[in-house]
Amino acid sequence: MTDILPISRFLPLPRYFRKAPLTVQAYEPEEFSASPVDDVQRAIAQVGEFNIWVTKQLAEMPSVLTLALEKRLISTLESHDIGHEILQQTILHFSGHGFPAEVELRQEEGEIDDDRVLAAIAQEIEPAHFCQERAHHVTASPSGQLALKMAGDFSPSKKLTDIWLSSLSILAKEAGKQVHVHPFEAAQEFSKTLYSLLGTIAQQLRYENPSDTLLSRQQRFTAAYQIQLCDAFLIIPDQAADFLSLLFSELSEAIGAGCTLNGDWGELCLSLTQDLYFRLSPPDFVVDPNFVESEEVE
Amino acid sequence: VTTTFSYIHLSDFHFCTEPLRLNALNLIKRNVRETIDTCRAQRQKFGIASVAKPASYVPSITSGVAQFCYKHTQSIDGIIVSGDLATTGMTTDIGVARAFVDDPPLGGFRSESRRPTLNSARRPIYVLPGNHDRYANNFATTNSRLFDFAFEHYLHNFNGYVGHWVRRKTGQYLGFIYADFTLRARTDATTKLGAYGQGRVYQDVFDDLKKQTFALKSKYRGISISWVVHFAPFDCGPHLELIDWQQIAQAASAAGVLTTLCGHTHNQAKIQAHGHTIYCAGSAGCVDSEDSSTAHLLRFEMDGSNFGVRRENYRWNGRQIKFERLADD
Repeated sequence: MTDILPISRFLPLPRYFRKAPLTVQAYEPEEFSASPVDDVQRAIAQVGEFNIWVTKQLAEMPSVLTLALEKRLISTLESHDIGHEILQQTILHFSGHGFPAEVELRQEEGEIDDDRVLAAIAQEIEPAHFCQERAHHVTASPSGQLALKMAGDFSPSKKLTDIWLSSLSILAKEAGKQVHVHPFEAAQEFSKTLYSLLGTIAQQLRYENPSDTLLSRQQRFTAAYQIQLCDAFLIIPDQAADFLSLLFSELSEAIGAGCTLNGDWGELCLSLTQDLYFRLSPPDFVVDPNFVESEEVE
Repeated sequence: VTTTFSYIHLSDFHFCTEPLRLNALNLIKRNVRETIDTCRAQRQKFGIASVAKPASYVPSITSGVAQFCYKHTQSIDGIIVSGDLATTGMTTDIGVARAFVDDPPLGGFRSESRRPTLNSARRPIYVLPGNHDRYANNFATTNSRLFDFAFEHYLHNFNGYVGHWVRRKTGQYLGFIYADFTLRARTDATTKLGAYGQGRVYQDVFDDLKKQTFALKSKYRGISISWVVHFAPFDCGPHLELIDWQQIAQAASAAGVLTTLCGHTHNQAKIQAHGHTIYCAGSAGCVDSEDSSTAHLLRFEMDGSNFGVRRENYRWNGRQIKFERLADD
């Protein structure tokens, strides 16, 4: 068992990061499409200009480290040969309002060379990266989020995780408990659960030589998978329809936009009719030509 | 000519009521994951996971275990599960564990109810109870015997505390003798919390284990013997201790038993003491081992009077949804 020493500390970023102004100019206007809910909220807040609205939202958001940024950070440190000192779980989160001013690291063992870490980050991670990563969480509509044409992992929208958390909260409340969860933790757990469920289904199908590998028909998850998805996420029935339709919409758009969901089992693909299906790898058996089965004596 | 017996060694699934919506309220109220004695975060809040994943096992990993066994079906002699199949010996938990072991396969490694099953490997399965399988409730009250009824066909030659099985290949015999050292009473633990994680080397069970060893050695000339117990017969801290564990390795060595297989700690380990080797399996799906679940493939190699064992270790990759091979030991 790895002993994790509970030593936490704040690592100040260089001035270049701390003082850099927050900007959303990197985004083309058409890359965003604010949802009606977002529009209403903006109207109530009496903020007319969209970029100012996004800036305001960013400033009020709790500091989180998105999975994609976490990976970028790790790969940057690895390219500077200091990746072995900092594991993914070492980075706790960024803090600061509107723009990350500090990085919190958990030290596992030995000393981390602060200067080397800071130099590596300063050299390769631009402020725009932070803004862009945060923007994934700001856009309220799936189409807006997916218009960023992200590659790599699927990450759910806040609206989707909110439905999930709402179901969990109801169950927890009825069981006499409360759910306290950070949005980042919820998004990460959501993705993990989804990958795990779809991968498990695919691995099971892979060994059954199925004639049908469709996950959806006519842009709806098939009935069997609807049940499995709701069971895996513990979605209560009166929230199931919203959850399933939004999940399908986000997942299919993400796959269509180049997001990958694959593994040893194969990959999840989008058909010409915009339905999701598994492209399965052939089953894998271990065959020992010299193997002779033993016989039971007693 | 070397004769090789191959066995998959699994341990500590900790099955409980299935984590479906229907059971969610019961599971959340029950806090089943917090009853696991090895749970590293036992005293901490689990955050979202305590509600989102209320079970004590991870279904995707146990499905991966069934897949692992199924893909090795043409190269193994059997599957050994060294205890803690369920989180308690109550009907609901034992029923899920039994379905995983015993349900007849329909296609691939799934049963008619579309759940993964070890039975799909179509190889002999051998189980023994762990401390959790003997809990009569959520508070570690001992001596539930439901496990014995549920797994009657998988407890080979079992007298209630000790059992054995013997197999033969190209004239060579390999025997396994297993023993149940779970506590008979809470007061047999050395600490208050020990009732949740300790076992004890009861003298009558221990004597029976040794007696059965000599009996098989007398009956089958040149037989190689391994012991299988749930508790780790080495120092693993007071909370998980097999009380009087020191006797095991010493007696095994004296009796010419080369290996003991065990589980319980949820950490894979290989320990050598008194010329005796102990192979401890990690957990194969318990929620506290989500990122470190393991399955093991044991190769018992015999060449005349020489007997050797090596172990292939596999760890769960939750992203690839498969067990990946680690270094052998």
